[in-house]
Amino acid sequence: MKIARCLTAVATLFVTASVQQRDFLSFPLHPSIVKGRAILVTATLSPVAVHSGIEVLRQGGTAADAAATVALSEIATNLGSVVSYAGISQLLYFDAKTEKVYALDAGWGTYAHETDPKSIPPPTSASSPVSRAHRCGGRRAGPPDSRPRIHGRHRSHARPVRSPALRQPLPARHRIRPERRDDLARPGDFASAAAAAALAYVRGPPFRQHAGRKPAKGRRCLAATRPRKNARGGGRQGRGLYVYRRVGAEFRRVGPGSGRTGHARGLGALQTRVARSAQRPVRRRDRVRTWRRFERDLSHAGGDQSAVQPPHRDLGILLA
Amino acid sequence: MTQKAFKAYVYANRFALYGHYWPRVAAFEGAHGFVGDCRVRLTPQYAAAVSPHLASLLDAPGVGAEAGHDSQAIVVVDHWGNVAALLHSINTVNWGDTGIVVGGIPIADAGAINRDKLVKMKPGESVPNPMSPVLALKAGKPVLAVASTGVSSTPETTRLVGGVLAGGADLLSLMSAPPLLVNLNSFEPNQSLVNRAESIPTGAYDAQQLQAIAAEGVPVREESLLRIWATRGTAVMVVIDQPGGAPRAVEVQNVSGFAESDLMSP
Repeated sequence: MKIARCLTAVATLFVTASVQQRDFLSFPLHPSIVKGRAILVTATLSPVAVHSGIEVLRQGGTAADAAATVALSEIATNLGSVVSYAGISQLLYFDAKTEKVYALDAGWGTYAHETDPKSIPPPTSASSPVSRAHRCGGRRAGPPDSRPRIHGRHRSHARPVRSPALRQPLPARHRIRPERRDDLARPGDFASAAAAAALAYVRGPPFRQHAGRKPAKGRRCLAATRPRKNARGGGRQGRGLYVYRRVGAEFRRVGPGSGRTGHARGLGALQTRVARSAQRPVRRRDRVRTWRRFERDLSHAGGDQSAVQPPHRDLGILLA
Repeated sequence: MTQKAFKAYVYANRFALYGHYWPRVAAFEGAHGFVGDCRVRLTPQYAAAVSPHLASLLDAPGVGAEAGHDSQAIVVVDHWGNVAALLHSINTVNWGDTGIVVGGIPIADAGAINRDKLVKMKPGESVPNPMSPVLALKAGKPVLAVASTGVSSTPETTRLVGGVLAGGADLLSLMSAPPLLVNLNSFEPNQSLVNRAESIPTGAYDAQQLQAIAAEGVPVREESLLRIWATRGTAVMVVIDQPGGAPRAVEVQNVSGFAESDLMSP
């Protein structure tokens, strides 16, 4: 009987996985409309980040606050993926009060005082095969603008929000909506499909034409490792999307009163502590002090933000 | 989408993606007084001058193109009617070369995708990027916000904005339709943009539709669904009903689009 049950369970798993993979790849897609009365957040990649944005709006934040929160939450929940604190961003913002549209281009720059960029020797880091092979030598783009610009954007378009939810990128003290639970529990077939898609991308001509031409001589060694790396990257990103089933489970646990039910252990306990600390008011003095420390570190690092630990554990500081 | 509309979208997207690299287009711009930076291409006068000549301008060989590289898209509408459309990216070469995370910060050679651009740039110049969020206003009020990511972000943005503003399409049909794609296959020698095949998803169009498209003179090439998934653009879009400002979005979970509003209870 037990063996029969096991076999049935395994067969069900296979059928479910194949159906879901087919749904994932087939056309037409199956979208659904989401209506709002006054507020709405939509984004790619992360349902948890979208939820953090809606929490910010519910607690009095503006669209600028919410967009920044979603962006930073996407980074926090997808470390090593396609977004980064050391990345770039571009924003269009309609300000209802003035009825004006603001555009913000937080992109890369080049250093203003270079006199002969091509003469800069390439670095000897782990990524040196690329640099050695490349015509631009060791020339680097300037530091990214995203984080300081997010700070500036918030100063321009923020409301004085004293929301405890802003203290963390994930609003752990709130339950997720029931419809999202299926997303969060999605099995790992999505990861394998993403990895396969990544391989399809890098094995074909598109990859060879990536920089507008075939790989140069010095790039051959790198070209051999890239398919493997990309398969891993695609797989990890795919898993990243649905690793939230664990986070989602914690959302369900860390609801009102869940700390008393004995469910909170491990990550659950951590989330509970975060949730409790979120109830305490954020002191303006602490925010300013931490932000100033970050800016001081940044100036000591010569503007290279990738070398500095940002105060991202307390999102309220970034947004204050 | 009719075959004529398909052809119009294909030509418009090719012009947007490749036009500024094409010598024939540069000559046309110079002859018609459209000189200076890229802002001259944003004017109604430029559109009126170029649109009758799209086919002839594209019917010439050239080199160079740039696909989208922006990675994540966000659109937000708040209580006061403010609207934000944001795109952000690490700009790394396919999940990076280092994989190093220091103090919680991924330093996977952020910005490395721009190496080719750096060769051509002068000191102090900003590095251009293809990020193109869109906000459309009607009588001073926002009615549409689109942010699109991925290799084919430009065709996807064009398709959605055109579909809503010009075509009056409903959101569900628009978001469930097959995507328009950038063809990343190598150029053949002396191949013009008019003769270049348009990548389409395998099985997305029936035989009759494919015949009609071929009759319009647009060659197509069916690509596998995996390849489509890897090279398509992924958009998030909000339509705002005016007056009132009630927002609507489409959630397409299979392609990583998620939405949440105040009408949903957690």
